[in-house]
Amino acid sequence: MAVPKRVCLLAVAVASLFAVVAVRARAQEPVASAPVAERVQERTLANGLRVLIERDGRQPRVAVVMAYDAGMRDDPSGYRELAHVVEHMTYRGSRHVKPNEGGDRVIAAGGLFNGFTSRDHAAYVSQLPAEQLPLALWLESERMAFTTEAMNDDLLDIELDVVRSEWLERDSEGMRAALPEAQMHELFPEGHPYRHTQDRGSKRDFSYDLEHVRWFHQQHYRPENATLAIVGDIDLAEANALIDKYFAGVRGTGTRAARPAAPVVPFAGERVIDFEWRYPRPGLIVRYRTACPDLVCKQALRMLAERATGDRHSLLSYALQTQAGIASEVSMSLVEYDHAQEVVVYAWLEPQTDLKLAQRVLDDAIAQMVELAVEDKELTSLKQAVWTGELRSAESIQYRATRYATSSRTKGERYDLDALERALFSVTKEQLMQLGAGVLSTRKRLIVRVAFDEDAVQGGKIVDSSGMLFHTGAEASKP
Amino acid sequence: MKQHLVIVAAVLLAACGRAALPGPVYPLTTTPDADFRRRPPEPAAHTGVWRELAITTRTMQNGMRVIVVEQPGTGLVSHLYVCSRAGKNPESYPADIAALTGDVLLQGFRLSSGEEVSATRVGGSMPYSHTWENGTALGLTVLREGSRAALRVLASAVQRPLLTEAGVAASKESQGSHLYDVSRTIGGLIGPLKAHLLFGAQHRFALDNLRWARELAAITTPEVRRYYQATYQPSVSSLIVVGDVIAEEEVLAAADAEFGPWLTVGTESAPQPRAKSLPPDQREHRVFAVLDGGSTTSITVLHPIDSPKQINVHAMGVLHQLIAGGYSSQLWRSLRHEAGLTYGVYGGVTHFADGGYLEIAASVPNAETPDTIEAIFDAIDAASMKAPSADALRAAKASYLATLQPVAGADLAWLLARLDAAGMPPEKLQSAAEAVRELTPSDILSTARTLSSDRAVALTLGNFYQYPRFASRRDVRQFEIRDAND
Repeated sequence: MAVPKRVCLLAVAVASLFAVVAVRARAQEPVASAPVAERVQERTLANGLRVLIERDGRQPRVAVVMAYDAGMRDDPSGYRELAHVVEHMTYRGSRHVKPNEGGDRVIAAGGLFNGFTSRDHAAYVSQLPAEQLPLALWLESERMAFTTEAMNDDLLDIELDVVRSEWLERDSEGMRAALPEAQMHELFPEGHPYRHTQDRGSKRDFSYDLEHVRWFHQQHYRPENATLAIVGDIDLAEANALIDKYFAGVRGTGTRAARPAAPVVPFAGERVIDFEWRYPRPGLIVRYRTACPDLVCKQALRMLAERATGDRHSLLSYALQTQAGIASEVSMSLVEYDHAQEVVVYAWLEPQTDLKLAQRVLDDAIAQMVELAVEDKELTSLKQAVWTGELRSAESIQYRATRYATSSRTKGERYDLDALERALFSVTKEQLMQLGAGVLSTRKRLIVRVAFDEDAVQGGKIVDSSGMLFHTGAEASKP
Repeated sequence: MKQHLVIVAAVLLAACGRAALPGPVYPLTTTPDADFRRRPPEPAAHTGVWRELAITTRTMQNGMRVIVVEQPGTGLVSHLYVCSRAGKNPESYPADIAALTGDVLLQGFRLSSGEEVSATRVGGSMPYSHTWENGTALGLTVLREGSRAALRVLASAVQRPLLTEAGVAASKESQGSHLYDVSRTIGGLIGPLKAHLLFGAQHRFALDNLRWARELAAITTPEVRRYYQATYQPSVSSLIVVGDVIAEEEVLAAADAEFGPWLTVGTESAPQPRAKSLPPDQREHRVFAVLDGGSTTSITVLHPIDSPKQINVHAMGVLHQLIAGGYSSQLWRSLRHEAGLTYGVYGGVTHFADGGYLEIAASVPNAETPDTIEAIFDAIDAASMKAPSADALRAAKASYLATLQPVAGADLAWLLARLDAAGMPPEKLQSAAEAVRELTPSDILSTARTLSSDRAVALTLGNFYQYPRFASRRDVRQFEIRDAND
């Protein structure tokens, strides 16, 4: 098979990156560390609360994360943002804790805290001096068991204003505006819980009251719906005794809250959206969907992203920024939900760049990358880069606790650094090539072409779309 | 097939629209109460002690400092080369030359063997540069096996950069794109205005985006070379290595081998910048409206710090924590918790060689803008009239201390780099923590009194993106600053 000239040029560019004799890459030796089974202790209390504890004695700090299966996908239809508002209301005190006292106490103890609502979870993250573990556990047990009764209309009114402000600050009045919303509408079919979007109308005018908020809290904030993760300089026996003290008596209902199914919806075709906004930089966003069956596949996806856009000399970055000179920034990243992954390419272009031309250049570059054989040195380098990134994140006790707490309980997954390492270093050149060819298909993807138009509505909007991303209902009913 | 059925079911459910929720079950709480739940618990018996960091510092014969902190078990090592003379926008050079040069150093260099390298990864990671008010750093975090190679790459980039026309052009392209994007964000618009309003249009950080872009475009390769030669000297350089090093002695020996031969050439002393905040009658306005419109306004209140060397920087940090530094601060309580006016209050303390400022920022509904500005000014005025309570001070100190005690190696490396470049010896990190613990309410009061409200300014910025004709224009500031009091 003849190799196209441009592929050869790319190959030369790639090879030059590894030409430094003095900086030889070498096969990675696994980092010496205890197996995760010894490092992480996992158990489930009689009331269903799942607990993971890891001791890390580098400094006398501890991270405590409580995650509930209560994310945006759990918002009942017609009650957008309910999970998020409930997250905010849990800062407003409980039977034994005055409004905001929890945050004040964590901070006064030298701690930090935060919370977030993702598509799959609501999670509460605190990091504080290790001896303050009882404080964190007391506050989390209050949040779980004694918060519903403390909610009132006055606090809800204020918190709704805060949530509106959060939305305005993050999305509406910035450049992102309607772009994420437009994509989410396309990425999942009508009725899919991940299709939840931050609808402007409903956010400005919340259509629910205190009883709805109380119901949601009661429904989802219970032990069988939660995972508690603790990482830090703790005595394991003491920590377990504290967990029993604060959580064993918390009553659940014996069954986990029903969640709307969030099945993987494979793309069945290509869909192109033309989006216009007032921001003067045009761009291309290309999304590919996959459902990795195992960790090796997920790690290979990360290597693929690193190969494409890990730095400005990576294949796609080099092709669009240096060779074609049409892009200011190119990134490929992996987006993970509980039930699927997406590989997303963002290419932010120089002003005036023709979008169709840019798409051709991007498609060519991706095609060349898929064809370009992975050499041994490159494979090692990609693994080292991905592993360095993971270790860099895992240096943080907060990061590890958050990953433990939010690992998919439904799928029985657990964040496991050792398993990630084994999976990463087992990826072969052939697997990487096959995955690239399989995932980065021009026949199954969503393309968003973002253009500048100074007369576009605030936040931007879709002006045209074509193609088909999913099977239609009629096709779905075929065997 | 099953999958498709689930999708169809989900579609049918959604088609039903909004259903009435069943409502909470009473009693709302089913968990039995217990005596131990009624009050906050005592700290655990297992009380850790902050492990004093073993910070090893050595000054090489050429004057360059090497700082090593060993953190076993992480598998990673972070390396930062810091040039404390390469702070952003140096006097008598074109704007942005410091950041540009930092990037150009990594575009190509010669190894000690003589081999020329245009770009290289170490252990899969590409080195990067970052420039801030007090310095420029070249950094590389790698797996521990790559540490020696990382030092070699950083040393080669710093001592033997190629500084080619192509390298300068590539870096200008990259910086230009960054500037283009930054100048279209709220932060990017406000950033250059801060020093302008506090210290005057001639201050080196008072750089409007138009001038910034113009000067960046005009920088020549000879200028980059001249700047490099005058700035990058061992006597103003530090190497910081934090992490799972194989052996501290090995790092010091490797640093000696890589950076030891670097000699000072053609030393010229850097001009000492001197800035003074503008007295009230020289400022253009007290309150500026850069743009208005949209439903919210971004407010930034700035108080100048004229003599950073004469104030207690830690006391200023704690003062910021008290007023606006997070969830428990005065302004979070009044603006967010009680009034629901904002999602958060932000800001911090910025120091540079000849000045700095305390910054407090929040976005609020337009109609609340004047009252919020007054609330921020009032909070600072109040802090200069009355010392904080012991409880409030304890909480603020605890919060501030947390920023001096990062657990992750890469975060610690950056903290040490910033302290070093600001003239605060990293080996004194532990004593800095002690100094924070010993701060008294009267220390905070006297620090607050160094802030002069009549020299402070408030900037307001409306919704930039509602004004398409301005969005594509580079110099928004020049055209749109208006006095909100008019």
